[in-house]
Amino acid sequence: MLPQNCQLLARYNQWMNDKLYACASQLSEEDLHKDMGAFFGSVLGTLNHLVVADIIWMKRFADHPARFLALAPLSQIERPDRLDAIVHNNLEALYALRQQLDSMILGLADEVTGESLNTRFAYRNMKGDEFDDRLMYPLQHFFNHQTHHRGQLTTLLNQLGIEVGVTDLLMVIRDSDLP
Amino acid sequence: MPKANDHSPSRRRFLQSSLQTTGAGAAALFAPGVVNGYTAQEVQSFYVDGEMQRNVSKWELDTPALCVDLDLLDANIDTMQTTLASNGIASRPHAKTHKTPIIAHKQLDTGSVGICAAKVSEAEVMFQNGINDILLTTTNVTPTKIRRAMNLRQACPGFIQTTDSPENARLLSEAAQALGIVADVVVDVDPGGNRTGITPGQPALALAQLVDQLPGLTLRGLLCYDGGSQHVMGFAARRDQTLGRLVAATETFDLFNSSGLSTEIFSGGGTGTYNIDHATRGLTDVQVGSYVFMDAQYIDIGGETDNEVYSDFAPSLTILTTVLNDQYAGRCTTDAGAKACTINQPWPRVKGETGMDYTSGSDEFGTLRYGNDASRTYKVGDKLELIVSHCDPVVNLYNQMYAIRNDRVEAVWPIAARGMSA
Repeated sequence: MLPQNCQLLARYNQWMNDKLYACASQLSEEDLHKDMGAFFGSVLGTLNHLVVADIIWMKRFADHPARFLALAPLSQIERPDRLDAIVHNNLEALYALRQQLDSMILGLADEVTGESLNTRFAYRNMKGDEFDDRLMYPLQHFFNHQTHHRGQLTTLLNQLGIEVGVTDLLMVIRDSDLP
Repeated sequence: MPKANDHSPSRRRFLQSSLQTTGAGAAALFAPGVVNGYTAQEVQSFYVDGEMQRNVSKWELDTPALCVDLDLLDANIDTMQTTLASNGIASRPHAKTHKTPIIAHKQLDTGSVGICAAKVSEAEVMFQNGINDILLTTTNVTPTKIRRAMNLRQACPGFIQTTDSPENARLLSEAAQALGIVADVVVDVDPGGNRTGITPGQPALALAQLVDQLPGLTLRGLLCYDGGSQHVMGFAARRDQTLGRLVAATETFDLFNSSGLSTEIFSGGGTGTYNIDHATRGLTDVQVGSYVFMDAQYIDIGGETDNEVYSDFAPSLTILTTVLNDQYAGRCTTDAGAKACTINQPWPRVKGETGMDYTSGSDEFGTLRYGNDASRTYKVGDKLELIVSHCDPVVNLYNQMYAIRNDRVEAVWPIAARGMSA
């Protein structure tokens, strides 16, 4: 993984999240909260899970020896204690937090270097088991995990009658001035 | 027993022929059997996990190269810490001199209470290399820098900023509140040079009271760095000027105290006045920088015991340069000009030699002129070592510093904050 890959995936993350929140905002309150049988139930439950997982991972990245300054604002965001935690029960408040996280992710992607991506850092999973990985691997998991659950969201939205449209990473590649 | 800096027609040949086979006295001095010569990239590649995987002599480095003698560096740090401790003050060394996190860690590991940084970008690099206590001695005035500094404070609880005007203090307060943090601030007091800082006395007090009251800020004390006194020639004159000019700062310190304001930090002073500043009542620490390396500018100011030479600290930092031309009488030309040495004056000096003058005014070339009493002359390909003119800007010209012990490369240190002038 190169810093450019991070920059691309960070941009894709922001682009897709903006798109999905715009789609979700077209739903009725009932549909937004409706348990659709997804792993995290509803559209709002899935959006919350993405916020939760991202915060948990970003707080781990913040402890990397490279001391990423872009992640400094995380000190003021509480770490959720469950993967199915509902951080905000309304879409507007959740979107405000989502935007804050996405801009931090862009900052992180600008800050990582070949060296920091290749540097190990220690972290614990939710069960408390300790791991020690080169940053690039958990970072790849982080972006991959987002895509996995966004895929569920496009299906849920589709079932609720909302068309998300194009979701290809290629769109961001073609549309960007990445180095 | 010969040493590497003894005079000889060809230092490299000398090292090759004699040192390998001489006895115990020279054993500590490393010299290669064959002088290979390595590029910076090659030497870098030999340095793995903090260990050199191959023996490399200083004289094998490609030039110009910036070298620091580890024994001298450690001795300088020790002298500073010991003297300050016996005088009852602390050091908060200025990282603007070395820009090298490894040296900052050495200073902190030997008792310094923190480090200083001149620019917010320099402070960021220090933080990202494991330094937790950083005093930024320059006031940030633009929104960009203020935002950067506040962001750093958010990540680094030991980061302290400087302010020197009420307008600026209000900007800092707004920026801190925007991030939802409380930022630590010291008031910069002008020692009389009119370069930075606020006028001591009532203006400084009013600013401190404002900082104390503004939301998002917490007052930690004051700083008063007297740059103009550091290079005053002669110890007595330097002491008189320094202590005279710091009287107003001490009076300001008293005003802070009598108004119930924090004077936890009262920082000032530098390498030229490190053994003078403690006589200023209230001063907590000195922002010494150049003492780790020394340079021609400081050597000339004279010390307490030797009025001609400031010998409290040894010149540990040198530029290694190669002779490119020896065809003309009375001179030779080297590969270290302004881009390797700066054009600061006094000019660099050839370490260990006398009767010759070096100039680095030309971009790519250094000129060495021999006097009638020159201690030696050089041939094409010979290498020589220069004591730098002024260490801070020289360090800023190099990406890495070779850490040398007994002429052997022991480490390659990245000058991580090189170029961090914003």
